[in-house]
Amino acid sequence: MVGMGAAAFLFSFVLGIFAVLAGVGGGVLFVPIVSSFFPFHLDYVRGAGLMVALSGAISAGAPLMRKGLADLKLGLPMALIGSVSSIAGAMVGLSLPAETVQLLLGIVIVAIATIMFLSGKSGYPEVKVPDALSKALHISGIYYEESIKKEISWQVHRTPLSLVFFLMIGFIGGMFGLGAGFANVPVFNLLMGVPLKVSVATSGLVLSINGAAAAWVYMFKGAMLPLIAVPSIGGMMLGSKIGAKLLTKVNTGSVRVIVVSMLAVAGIRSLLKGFGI
Amino acid sequence: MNQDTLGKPPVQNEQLAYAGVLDKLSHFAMLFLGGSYAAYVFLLLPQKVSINAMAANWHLKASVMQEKLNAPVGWSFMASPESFLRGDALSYLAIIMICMIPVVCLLFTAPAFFREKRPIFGVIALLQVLILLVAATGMLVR
Repeated sequence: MVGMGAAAFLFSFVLGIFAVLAGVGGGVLFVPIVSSFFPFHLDYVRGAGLMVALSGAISAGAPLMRKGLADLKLGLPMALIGSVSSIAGAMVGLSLPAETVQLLLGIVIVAIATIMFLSGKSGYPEVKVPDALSKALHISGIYYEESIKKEISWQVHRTPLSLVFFLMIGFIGGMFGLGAGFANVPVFNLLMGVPLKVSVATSGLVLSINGAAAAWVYMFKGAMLPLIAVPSIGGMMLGSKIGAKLLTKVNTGSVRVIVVSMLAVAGIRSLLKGFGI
Repeated sequence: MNQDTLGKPPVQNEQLAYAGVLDKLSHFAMLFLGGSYAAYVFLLLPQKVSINAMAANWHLKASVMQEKLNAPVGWSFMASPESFLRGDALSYLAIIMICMIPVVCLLFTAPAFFREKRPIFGVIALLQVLILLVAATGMLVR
């Protein structure tokens, strides 16, 4: 029985390495793959998935915030909306039959794999005119880009539309126990025009708050098992640290293809399980 | 817009307040998580529900397993010192601590927002705390 915990630790460790190298959050890999290959009920995998994503974001958060990369003024309004919908998502997810959730998870994961395969990213998007809401809230910033030794100043647009997106992302994250960094980052970067590094770092802030909100629903519904969640958190965090060290030494493009393929396989497997096949 | 610069731009005080609390709490929570889990799986403390019983039922839906085993949920393990000083309950407490970290960080950050004359964000931070605390009471799932 403890062996299964050790297996969850090792599996999460490997996933943690791949997650960092592919530039995706741990939760989005953890839930579909662990639910496909481990004997745990999907309820506990989703609970553990939320904790995996939340713990990773929390442990990486402080240095990113001190560097001005994770931005509170950008993240807090999105988290406020997203946390409410993530609670709702968790409640809906736990009230549905497992087969339905498994089927929906399969659809979401295949969609994520497709988006990851097709979507681009922009290091320093240019926003010529900020929208009225972001101007009123003074959502803008400046950070020091080490790689080019320059200050990068940024401002945002399409804030109201982005709030709607964060509402949906929160719901999906809570329902399936996914970290939702896969969706936060493109919305910040491609829709709002936030520099990529600020998008990734602020996504962690949003994720930590949304995950903490939804995790309570899993705890009160009995869907949070320390026996599964704790080794998964430990494995993912250790793997992420190793992955970060390997980041400069491996071809991340190839790893991303592997991870997208893994997601596609896990998504199709979830779909089949959802159909009872 | 990129600019050549001589020094790094200053980071806002509320960011530093959040980061300072987050740094300390995250380290403490992770240490507690590791220690409590070791006490749990190496049987250093008694358990409310044995590991074998848990493993024999983890294929069941949460509501079904809960009915069968009456494992700790929410704050139930805090009912008495006997129910609290158990391996599974302490591991569970570590998870709760991680979930409470954003609440504490925001409580420390909200006054900094007001001091820095950004009251809207102070209010947003307090509203966020309220949402997280309401979730933590469990009143939404009863």
